[in-house]
This record gives sequence, C-alpha cells and structure tokens, in this order.
Amino acid sequence: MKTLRNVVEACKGQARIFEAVIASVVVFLAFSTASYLIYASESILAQEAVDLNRLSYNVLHRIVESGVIEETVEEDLQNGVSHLKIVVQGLLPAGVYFNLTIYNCTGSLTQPYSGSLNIGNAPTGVFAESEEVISTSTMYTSKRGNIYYLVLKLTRV
Amino acid sequence: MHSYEYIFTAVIASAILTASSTIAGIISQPSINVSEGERVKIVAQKIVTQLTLNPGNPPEWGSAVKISPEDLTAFGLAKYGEATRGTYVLDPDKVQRLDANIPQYLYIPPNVAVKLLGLGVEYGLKLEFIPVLDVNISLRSGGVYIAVSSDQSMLPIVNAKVVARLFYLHDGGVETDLKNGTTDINGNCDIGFDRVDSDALLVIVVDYYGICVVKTYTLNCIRAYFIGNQLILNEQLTITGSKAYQVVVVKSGETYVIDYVQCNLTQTSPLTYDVTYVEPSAIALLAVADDGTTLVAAYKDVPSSYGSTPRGTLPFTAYMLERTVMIGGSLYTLRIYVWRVIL
Repeated sequence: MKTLRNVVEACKGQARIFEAVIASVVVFLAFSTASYLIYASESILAQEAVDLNRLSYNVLHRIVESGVIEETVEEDLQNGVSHLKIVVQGLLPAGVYFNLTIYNCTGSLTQPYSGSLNIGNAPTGVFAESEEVISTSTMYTSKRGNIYYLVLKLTRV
Repeated sequence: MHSYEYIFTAVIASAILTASSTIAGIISQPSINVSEGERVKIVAQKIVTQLTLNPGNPPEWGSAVKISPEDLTAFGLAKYGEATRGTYVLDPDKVQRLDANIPQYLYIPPNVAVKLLGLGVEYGLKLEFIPVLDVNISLRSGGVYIAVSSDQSMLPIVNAKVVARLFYLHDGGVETDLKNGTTDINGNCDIGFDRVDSDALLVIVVDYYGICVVKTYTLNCIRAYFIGNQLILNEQLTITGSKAYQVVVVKSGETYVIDYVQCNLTQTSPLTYDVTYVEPSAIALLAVADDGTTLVAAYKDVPSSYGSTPRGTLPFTAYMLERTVMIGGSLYTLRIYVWRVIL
C-alpha cells in the first residue's frame, strides 16, 4: 500500500523531468535562433562583397583599357574630373555608391603620391556607416608615361 | 522509480523529439530560403564569369557557321584569339547567334545555353545587352539628328565626339560621305548629309572620353547577315561583280575612324556567300545587287535580350548582376538575371 510519502516522492520525480524537458527546449531554441541569425547574415554579406569586388575590378579594367584617364584627367584638366565621374557612373549599375581616388605616382620616388584626385557619388558618411564596403586597386601607366594608382571603393545603397 | 514513471518519461522523450523536429523545421525554413537565395547568387556569379571570360567550346563557335547548337560542349561568349585575349571582350558573332531573328540554323536557343551552363530546368536565365550610351538617330531633310544620353540617368551626354559615315548607292556603286561633330549641351549633334534619302547605311561612332558606342542605321537597304566570313541573304539576289565593302571602325591615335575595304565574295549556296578575308574590326558588309539597283547591308547586330523567358516577365526573386563588356568596339552593360524555377 502506498503511503503519502511515496506519492510526494513520485511527484518530485515528475517535476524534475518537466524541468529537464523545459530546459532542453529552451537551450535548443536558443542555439537554433542564434545559429540562424549569425550564419545567415554572414553568408549574405559575403556574397554581396564577392560580387562588388568583381564588379569593381571590371570597372577599373574598363577605365584603364579604354584610355579614359588619358582623355579626362590628362587631356582636359578643366573639366576632366567631372567627365570622369560621369564615365564611372555610367559603368556602374544603379544603386551603387563609388569613390575613386587616383594617385599620380609619376616622378619622385621619395614622395610617390605627389598628387591625387578624388571623385564619388556617395553622400557624406555612407562608406563609414555601410556594413559592406569593398576596395580594389590597380596600377596604370598611361601612354604619356604617367603612372597612376587607382583605388575604387564601392558600396550598395 | 515506478513503472508508470518510466512510461511517462518515454512519452515525454518522444514528445521532445517530435517537437524538436517540428521546431527545427519551422526555424530553419527562413534559413533554407536564404541559402537558396545565396545559391542563386553563387550560380549567377559563376554564369557571368563563364559568359564573359570563357569562349566556350569549340572556341570559334560564333564565326564557324558550320557549328550547330548540337555541336557545342561549353557555352561562353568571350572573344577567342590565337595570340591575344581581351578581358570582358565578347565575340560579336557569338552574340549575334543569340538573336532570334537570324536564320534558325545559326540561332542558339536559350534552352541549349541553359543546359550547357549546367543550370538544367531548375534555373531561369535572361541576358540583356544595353549600350552604355543611348544613341538615338532621327532623320531630317538633308541630314540626321543624333541624340546621346546616359543609359542610366538619361542625362544628355555633352561634348561627345561623333563620327558619322554614310554609305549610299550611287550610279550602281557605293559612295561614302564622312562627317564629324560634337554633342551640344543638350546631348544633340546635327550632321548634314546630301544623299540621306537614297539607299544607304549610316554608321555612327560616339566617343565620350574613351567610352565608345558604334551604331548602324539603314535606309531602304535589303537586310542581310554578316556572321564569321559569310554573307547570308534573306532572299535570293545576284551580287554585282561578286564584290563587297567591309566597314571597319578603328581607333587611330585619339580618334575613331570609320573606313572601308573592298573584298571578294564566293557564292556557296543560293543565299550564302563566303568573304575572302574578314577584317578583325569589321562591323558591316555592303554589297550591290541586282545590277546596281539594290544595296545589301549586313551588319553585326546585338540583341537587346536573350533568355528563357519572354520579355518583361521576370520573377521578383530573380537575382541580377551587371558587367561592362566590349562587343565589336562598342561598350555594353551585360545584365544577367538568374532565378530559381519553382517546379
């Protein structure tokens, strides 16, 4: 015959089982949610950066292959920079902010970056605030023998 | 523990397992969606690389008209050269063979391209070729208006150099008229031609600080196709003297030049002629037919779109990528859409 003590002991055992079950569910949910949030966002950013990187090299390649630097920066000193901005804008898809810096490395070896110019279409602070900004660069020697170091930064709107 | 406690524990454990699998399914559904989206992005990036940097196999499939879609073992649009190879330079003949208007035995159907790209039936693909500069030509009495604007912003392109050459039929032969101009503050350039009303082919080169777009415009000409070393006619015609003129666009110094060279034709079938030698920068072929009464114009045309879906019906899940490519001396934006087909 069961005593009152036995019944109380049995209830304590069931309560422990319930505690364990609830704890397991909570731990499982916590891990699942955390892993989902972490891996999914990382993956998205990685793919976007890969594409921007390739796009950036594509644009840099086109700028140097088409002789754009010669015809804008070297030929037309007055309006060359604004024309260069239109050209770069035309080579990029809509919804991409860019910042192109061209360092003139010709001449002095002790001060290689003697002159630089900067063009872009991004509002102030966009690159600082954006989660994914890529930067690519290339060296280029123009037909006149000037050496340029081009740095193109891109981010999506 | 008593036996009923063991039974109760087993029931709870089963319930946990069932609930866990259900919850895992619910939670991982967005994750699956994200990974599918990511897979589409990866696929799109692979395709754009394949199309722009790989010539396909056989590598000369664009110009070799004997190569049919069934002979292709890999699909790529990059220009193939024995000695040189440019990055992001596409073969105009390969691009032409994506145009549904060309003779059907030369056309590469989208399902063949999709299959060769390894996409199968799971993915949809669409390509768009958009000139970097939008060049509109309109005729006026004694000349042409050329309006140049930016493809994206539609803003007028100011101070672009324009070279225009008119090839027209005159006294049974081909005459030419070469003019130069610059776009004004509205992006317009007005060029006068005396014989703009006759059978003619107008070739226009717009150069905006290194960004070049070549455009052709025909007036009353018989349209033909110029693929590889072949002139392909739509109707049976007799080419006068078996001669033709190749129109070439080359950069000489800082400016573009539109020139032409004469070449011989050899008839290989009622509708096809072989060109003895094709200039690498040839963009069009002109021939006089029917005893000097007709001008036949064959030019390398770039289709505006190509893909496995009709124009304008893209699913909202389509992922888009863009690259700037050179096709026959012109700069284009190649836009690629890839999406997962729900089966």
